[in-house]
Amino acid sequence: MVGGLLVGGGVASAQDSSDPKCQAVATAEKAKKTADDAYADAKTKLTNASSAVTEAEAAANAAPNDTALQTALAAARAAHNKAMTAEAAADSTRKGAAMNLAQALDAAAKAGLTCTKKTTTTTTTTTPPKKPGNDQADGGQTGGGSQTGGGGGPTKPGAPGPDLNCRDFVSRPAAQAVLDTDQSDPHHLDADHDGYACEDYFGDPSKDPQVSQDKTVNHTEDDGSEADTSGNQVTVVPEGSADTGSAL
Amino acid sequence: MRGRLLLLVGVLLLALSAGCSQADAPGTAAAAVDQGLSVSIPAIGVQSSLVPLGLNPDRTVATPPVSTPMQAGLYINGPAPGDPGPAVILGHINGGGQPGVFARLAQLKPGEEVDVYRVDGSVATFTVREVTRAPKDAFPTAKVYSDTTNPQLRLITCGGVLDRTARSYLDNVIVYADLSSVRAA
Repeated sequence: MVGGLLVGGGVASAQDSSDPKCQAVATAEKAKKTADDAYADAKTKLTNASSAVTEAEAAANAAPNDTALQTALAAARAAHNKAMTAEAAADSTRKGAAMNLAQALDAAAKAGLTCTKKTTTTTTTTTPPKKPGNDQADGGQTGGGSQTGGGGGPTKPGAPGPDLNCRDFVSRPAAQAVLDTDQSDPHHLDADHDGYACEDYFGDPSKDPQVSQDKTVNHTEDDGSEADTSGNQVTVVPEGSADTGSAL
Repeated sequence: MRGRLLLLVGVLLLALSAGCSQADAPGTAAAAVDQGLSVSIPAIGVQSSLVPLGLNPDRTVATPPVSTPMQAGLYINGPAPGDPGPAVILGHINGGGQPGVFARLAQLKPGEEVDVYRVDGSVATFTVREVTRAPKDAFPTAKVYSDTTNPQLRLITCGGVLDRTARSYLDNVIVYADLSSVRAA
């Protein structure tokens, strides 16, 4: 990507843009684009899942005794829940990527660098546009990288940028955004290859070592019995867990 | 006036759901939330007013409306934040296709602070002691709701932790915190 910029940029800006800080900006821009696309995709899927639940509910309500419809409704709700989780994750990643970019731009600005962000567009105008028929049919892919390839040469994924470590990121989602741009993980952000970046460093909602399983399993049964608690500071103890049920 | 109505509804709900077997008045939380409370967790960017939460008809704890997932709430049948005992704040991890107020609750770390503000400007600051998750079918009711010698706070997400496997989506994340300071208005 940087090589492509050098072709069209002026001398001074060419020097700037080869600076590691500018390369970090470019990496962050790419990551943000990918994260934004992934979020748009997750959002679409969530909308679809919501509609599916609405339809399934209507069908199930019309025939309450039809177990097949009830099962379908349950499945639709489960899919919707998953879509909500995915959307929240994508949103978190997107925000992390935006933070990364702001940080990189700030660092470059403080160093007095003019990263030739604008020239990117001017130099790439000669590149033939992608064929519209070559649409990203696969919504499951975070396919945002397709546009960045038009810079005049093949993009070496991750290679020219500065080496990044987990401590260079403001948050785990921010690191995730970079990992998502290049699954080959040139920066070794995902040492255990589980798809999560830097969870040892930042902690992950599901893997954070701080979030240990609560061993206290002294809980109420769903039989209407009183909760097994001591004292009366809480005058009425709720049963069971805090639940949202089929959150819509 | 509206607050009184909410309180009334809460008490009514309580009476209904408990089959009138529980004659106790709601804890001090009901009055406090009626006056107006808000919670702030700078470490994970949380800022929300607190709505009163009672019980559902099945005696499970009520949660804020899913349509407003950024809204947190306070369980009214317990102590007010800053009073002795476990005050319980609940919020969604997501809802209506949007991230919820407690989407990042699991990222909270021991030692980080949770502030509860009253309308008069006074602040009760709690320090996180423990962050746990519990399967919803093994919710640590005793640990969460039992009496404590000092003022404590519980933060609970409804909706489960973020995970790729659907299984752990059934978890609650529970944060235990102790009162560390009170600043007068």
